Amino acid sequence: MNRYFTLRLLAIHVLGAFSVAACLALAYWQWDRAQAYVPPESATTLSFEELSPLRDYLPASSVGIPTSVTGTWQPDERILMPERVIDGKSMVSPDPESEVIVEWVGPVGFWVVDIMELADESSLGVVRGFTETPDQIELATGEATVSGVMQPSEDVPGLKLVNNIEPLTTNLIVENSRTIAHDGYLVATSITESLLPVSPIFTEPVVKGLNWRNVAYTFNWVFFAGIVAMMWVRVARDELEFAEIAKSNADLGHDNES
Amino acid sequence: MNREDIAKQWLFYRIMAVVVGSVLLVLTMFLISVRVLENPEPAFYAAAWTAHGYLFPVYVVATFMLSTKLKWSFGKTILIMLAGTIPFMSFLTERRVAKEFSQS
Repeated sequence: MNRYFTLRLLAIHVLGAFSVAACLALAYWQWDRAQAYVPPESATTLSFEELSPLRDYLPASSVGIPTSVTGTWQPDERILMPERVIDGKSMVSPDPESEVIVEWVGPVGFWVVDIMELADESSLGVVRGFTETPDQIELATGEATVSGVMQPSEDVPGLKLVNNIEPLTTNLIVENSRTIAHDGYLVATSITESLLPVSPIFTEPVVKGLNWRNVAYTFNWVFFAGIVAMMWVRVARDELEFAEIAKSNADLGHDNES
Repeated sequence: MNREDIAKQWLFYRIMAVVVGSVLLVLTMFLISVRVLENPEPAFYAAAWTAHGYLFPVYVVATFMLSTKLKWSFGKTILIMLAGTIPFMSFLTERRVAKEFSQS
């Protein structure tokens, strides 16, 4: 057999090519996940559990999809988000790179966020509505079913609020929850007495943006593919060198015999 | 074989084994805290796992470079690389390799 086509060398090439291809496939998968901001096709039929998987980011395809959820209000805890208006979209800065100041025409007040504890012992931040006088709003108690739409944490890339409004983030909800919290929050569309319904920032699935964690993993796999390729070349080169040495030794032996 | 070269590769491997092992150990403790004890994720959690994702390939390179110098078998090289993915294991393999290295 030709020294360039030994079984061992063939195995090295197959393994090397397979490993590099696997790393690149994983990189592509992560890149695909990073851009998971794709409109859903039939998301309207999804239950809350499917829309908002626990211990994971809120899928962009779940944003703005109507859902309903049942749970018990966490007693004695409330998050008030100040300096807000009823229309969420009007709070979004047109230029995320700079600080945009807007003069409000309508009322400015608070978004009232209560924490709902669900049957699986997870917690969900629920924006129950808007008020200018939060002191007059009683804490939510007991069991309830709330209809609404899921919204991403307001610190997602590309989203900045005007007037330096404090963002309602998953971290803030986590800090105020007693159990593991869902990513993002629910904007209630059910009517709550004494609160005005809030219009959510995102009324349809987010269609652009990247998840930085998956982008980092993408480059991670490309990096790994490079390392595997380097190992492949090195092992193949060593194999050829060994073959060369073995051949010259054999030739020497042959010469000695003659 | 150039002993100075090997000593350099040995030091590189050793540093990476300790760094990757330590980072993995700390992150595993946070993983248990978040996943099992259901505590909230610390702010640096995601970034730290990503950083570990970049450190591990460097450990793999260090192991590979040492393996070519010390003429390890393919299987042994892969096992030592995989040891970097199991908490505590990279410390143990580093000790074993150290013993082997001092005998050579």
